[in-house]
Amino acid sequence: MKSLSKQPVVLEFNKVNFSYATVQVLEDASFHIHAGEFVALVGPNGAGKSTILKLILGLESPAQGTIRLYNASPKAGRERIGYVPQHVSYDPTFPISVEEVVRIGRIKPFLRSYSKQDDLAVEKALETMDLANLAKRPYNALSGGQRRRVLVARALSASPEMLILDEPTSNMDAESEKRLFTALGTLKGETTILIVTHDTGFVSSLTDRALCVGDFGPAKKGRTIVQHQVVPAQDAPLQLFGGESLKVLHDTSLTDDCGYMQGDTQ
Amino acid sequence: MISFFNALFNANMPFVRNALIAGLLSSILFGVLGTVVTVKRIAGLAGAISHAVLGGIGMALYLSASGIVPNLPPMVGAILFAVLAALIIGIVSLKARQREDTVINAIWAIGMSIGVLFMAKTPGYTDPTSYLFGNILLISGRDLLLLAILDVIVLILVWRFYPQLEASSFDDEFAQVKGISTPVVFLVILSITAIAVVLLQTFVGIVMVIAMLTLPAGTAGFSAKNMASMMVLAWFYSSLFSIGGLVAGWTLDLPVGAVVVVLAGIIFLGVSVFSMIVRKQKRAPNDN
Repeated sequence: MKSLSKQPVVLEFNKVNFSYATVQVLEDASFHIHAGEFVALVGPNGAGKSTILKLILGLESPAQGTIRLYNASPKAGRERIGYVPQHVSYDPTFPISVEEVVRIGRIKPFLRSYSKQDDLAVEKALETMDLANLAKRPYNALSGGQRRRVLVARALSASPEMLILDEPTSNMDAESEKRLFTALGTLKGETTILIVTHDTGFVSSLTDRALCVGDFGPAKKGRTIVQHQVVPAQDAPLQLFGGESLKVLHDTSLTDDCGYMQGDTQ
Repeated sequence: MISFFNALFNANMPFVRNALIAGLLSSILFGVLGTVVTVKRIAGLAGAISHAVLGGIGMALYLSASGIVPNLPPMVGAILFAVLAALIIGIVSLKARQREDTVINAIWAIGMSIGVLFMAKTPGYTDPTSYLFGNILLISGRDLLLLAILDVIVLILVWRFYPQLEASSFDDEFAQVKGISTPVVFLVILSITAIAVVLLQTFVGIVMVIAMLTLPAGTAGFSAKNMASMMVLAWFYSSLFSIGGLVAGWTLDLPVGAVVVVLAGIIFLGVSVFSMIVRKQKRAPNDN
């Protein structure tokens, strides 16, 4: 396995503090991700994972500290990101086809109409996610798992350099989960992948590193981020991630970039 | 009484023709803007704005009748209150993390109360009924012109920014990540809705504007494949309800605005029930 830690840093949190009104969510949170890595950001519910996502996407700004995304501010760098939300809180009667949802991934702020090139990218994204046969179906007629794959395809249609998935497996059937991780496996290495999950025990075997948000920071006010070791899991439920999983060792703490799978040569 | 179609071409009854034109011009807004209001789920906000408009109408009537500002048209007060209400609601919706519905309902009620208070103090007799429920006899040539201008503005904006509108209606956060200024989109929609509500209330009245901004779009939503076809279908349904309501209202000597809304409501309920039955039947084979 090539050393990913020698790849350029694409996302960097440097001593980030963030609060909602009087509640401090993040304290002194630092981590970085290299190009091509498959990283799991794990943490229990309420630990601040969604906040970290919002900060990466430029939807919130840190009170202190800096965030660099592709050597730019999150707002400037986010166009290189493909974001897959956990779900979309849209009007359930909103009439829209699968194809049209995926096409939204190609949108630009002042675009008037989609081009032939956009159509081709949509087609490719649908094929990657194994959705070509559902292209014309209404989005609201799909199952939860299928919808999630449509949202992944929407993110992929813009050929992002980094894919961020928020809780991709929650409420997902085993079949859809398997298809999702098969697709992510084909993207691994080419596309930087960050998966956010509340499952703190196991992560997909595709994972290079696990970052954990949940422990309190030095001043015990907000949560910070610790890097944990991951080892092949013997006791993971088989239906997880459509394949093998890794176990997160929460009693370990890695401070540098060397948090790759145990046994990897760095 | 002469039939609607004779009255339509009777030179002594220009108001009948005006009413028909108003109905057709309103239908564009009911259909196109109504679809946006429905899919963006801001019908509640539009309802608050439309009711707050009564405050502006009452204020203008009072200022005009008491001679403080002679000949102040009610529409000026209405637009002032509509834009003010839209601004407050817009800022609260974007900034507040809680109590949003309290503020929206407060604006709804305070606006109406201000209207009632001003009308009570206005010299002479003031009847709020025609503002609340619409009065097609009051539609002027200027109203028609303003409606036509707003129609054109709305159609141009929708044509130009359709992808952004679709993206932000489906998933506002994703649209924002893609660089679309969704707060601007939201505030523009809210301001246009505010002005539209003022112009549309001449046809169906303050109370029922919101029904016509949601029922035709809701009816269209059952069979539309995407937002564009929903707009076109809703436009078609609105025209149908408007003309139907005018003819029925004229023939049966009933308030036109109310007939239009009842017609729209009945068709919406009918289509809802029908689509529920169809969906159940479609699902049935899978249950086994």
